[in-house]
Order: sequence, then structure tokens, then C-alpha cells
Amino acid sequence: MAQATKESFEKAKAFNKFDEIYAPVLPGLKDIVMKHQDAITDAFYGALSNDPIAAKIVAGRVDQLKATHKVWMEELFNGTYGDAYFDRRYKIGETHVKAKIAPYFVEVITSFLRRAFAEILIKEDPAALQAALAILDLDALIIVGAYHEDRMRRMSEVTGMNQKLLETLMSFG
Amino acid sequence: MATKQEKINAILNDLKMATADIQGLGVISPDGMMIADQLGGNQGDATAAMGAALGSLAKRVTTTLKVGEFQEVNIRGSNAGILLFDIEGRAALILTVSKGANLGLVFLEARQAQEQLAQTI
Ligand code: HEM
Repeated sequence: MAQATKESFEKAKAFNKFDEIYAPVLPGLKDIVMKHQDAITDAFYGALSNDPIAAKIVAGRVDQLKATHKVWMEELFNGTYGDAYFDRRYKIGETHVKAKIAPYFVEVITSFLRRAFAEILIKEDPAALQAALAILDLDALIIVGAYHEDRMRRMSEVTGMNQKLLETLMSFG
Repeated sequence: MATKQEKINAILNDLKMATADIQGLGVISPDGMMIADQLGGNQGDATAAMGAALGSLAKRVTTTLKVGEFQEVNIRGSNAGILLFDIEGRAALILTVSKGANLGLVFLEARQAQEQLAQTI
């Protein structure tokens, strides 16, 4: 598993010259962004709690989720985005898949995070905001990739068709 | 010594010669690739993919409804028919047959080819 998403991740990094241009900028942003982490995380879970479906999903574990969210945000700015980074992020994707959280929520919450980071970093060098948006996009690519692979796996399981056949069939669509 | 491809083609040739009711035939992989194509026309790639899909789904339904081992799919169109035979999960034999074909004979011959293909593939 994870192979298709891993390939997309590597290709996306190469396409945007991520390791060359953005990765070196990110560690320098950690302190600036983490100063606002509490506020962002509170707003993040506040927004989820206002949605009737999301509220049910996070009910009773908001404090625990806030703690994992902090760790997740810190790791965005660690500066290394190789295999170990990918694996951790893919597992986060799988956790959301298993929790049956609709991918739509991950998309809107990523959009929310983009705006929150922009608000903080707009006052900095444009390279800062560009780098923060680039890593958020890579994280979203990985999480959404985990959803996509799960759908392919389930489709394969229910139809008995292997994934290569499913891809071939779609190429005729 | 004949290659595997030549052996497969020879089995298909014999089957085609057995009855005029068989219009076209081919062997496809579970990935939906054409292994040997004597279907005629230029729909080979799509036919291979859809044939493999048909076989996979038929096998799944057979298991789910607990009706024993999957053997074949028989589709009847208003102009002609399509038959699909499993080759031990490693491939499938697909035939197009004419309207009003003598299916007794077609099945007899196709099952023989099915066994031969199972030994070859
Ligand atoms: C970009 C968006 C998101 C990020 C970065 C994120 C981050 C995380 C992280 C790091 C974890 C811990 C993962 C683990 O332990 O493996 C987690 C778990 C969880 N998240 Fe999210 N999350 C996001 C969106 C959401 C949304 C939109 C919801 C709800 C609608 C949600 C609900 C949950 C729940 C319920 C868990 C715990 C699942 C379990 O352990 O069963 N998350 N999230």
C-alpha cells in the first residue's frame, strides 16, 4: 500500500523543487508559527465543533486531539521531509480513514489552515508563506492519498478485480 | 520447441476450427491484458479489460452466494453471445458466438480448450 501516494509525494516534491527551495525555509518559521499554535488549534476544533457531523466525531476527545495536533504542527517545521516524514503523515491519513471521517472535512480543514498560516506569515518574507503553504499542500496530498488508496482497496475487495485492472478499466472512461 | 504463445495460439486455432458458431476468441490476463487475440476488430484492449472485470466479478459473486467454484459466464445479446471461461484464476478464455449457436458443442469444445490452456499457462 501507500506506494501510489508515495510516488505522488516524491513527484510533487520534485515538481516544486520542494527540498531545494522550501524545506530549508521551514525550520526558521517554527517559532513564529508555534507562537500562534494554541489559537490556531482552538479555532480548528472550534470550527469542527460547530459542524454537526464533525462535532460528533471529535466529541469527548478534543483535548487529546489538540495535543496530537500540536505535535503535527511542530513536525511541519522540522526540516526533513523524507521517508520517515511520509510514513508518519500517511499513518495520520489512515487514522482518519479508519475513523470514517469524510475526506471533505480534511479538505476544508486544510483550507482553514492555509488561511490561518497566511494571516501569520503575510507579514514575513513571501518565501515564508510560500514554504508553509507548500508543506501544507504536501500533507494534504498524503492524507487524501490515503483515502484514495483505501477506496481503491475496498473497490478491489468487493469486485474481486485487482487494482491494476481497475486502473486499466478507468483508462477507457 | 513451440513457445508458450505458439501453444496458446494453437489451442485457440483448434477451438475455432471445431465449430463455425465460434466467431472470435481470446485469452486474457486477470490484469485485463490480452494474452492472445483472435477476436477480430480493434476492440482488443477494452475487451480484455472488460472480460477480466466480468470474470473477477463473476468469481466474487460465485463465492459470495456460495454456489461452488466459478466456471463460466454466459451472456446472451440479441445478435450474438459472449462466453467467458476461467483458467484456474491465472487467465480467462473469452469467446463470441453466433446467434442461435449450438451451445452444447461450443461448451464441450471450450471446456477441452480450457483444460489445455490450464496446462499451458
Ligand atoms: C488537515 C487536517 C487534519 C490534520 C492535520 C489532523 C491531524 C491529526 C493527527 C496528527 C491525529 C493523530 C493521528 C494518530 O494518532 O495516528 C489525528 C487524529 C484524529 N483526527 Fe485529525 N486531523 C485533521 C483533520 C481532522 C478532521 C477534519 C477531523 C474530524 C472531522 C479529525 C478528527 C480526528 C479524530 C477523531 C482523530 C482520532 C482518530 C482515532 O484515534 O481513532 N481530524 N488528527
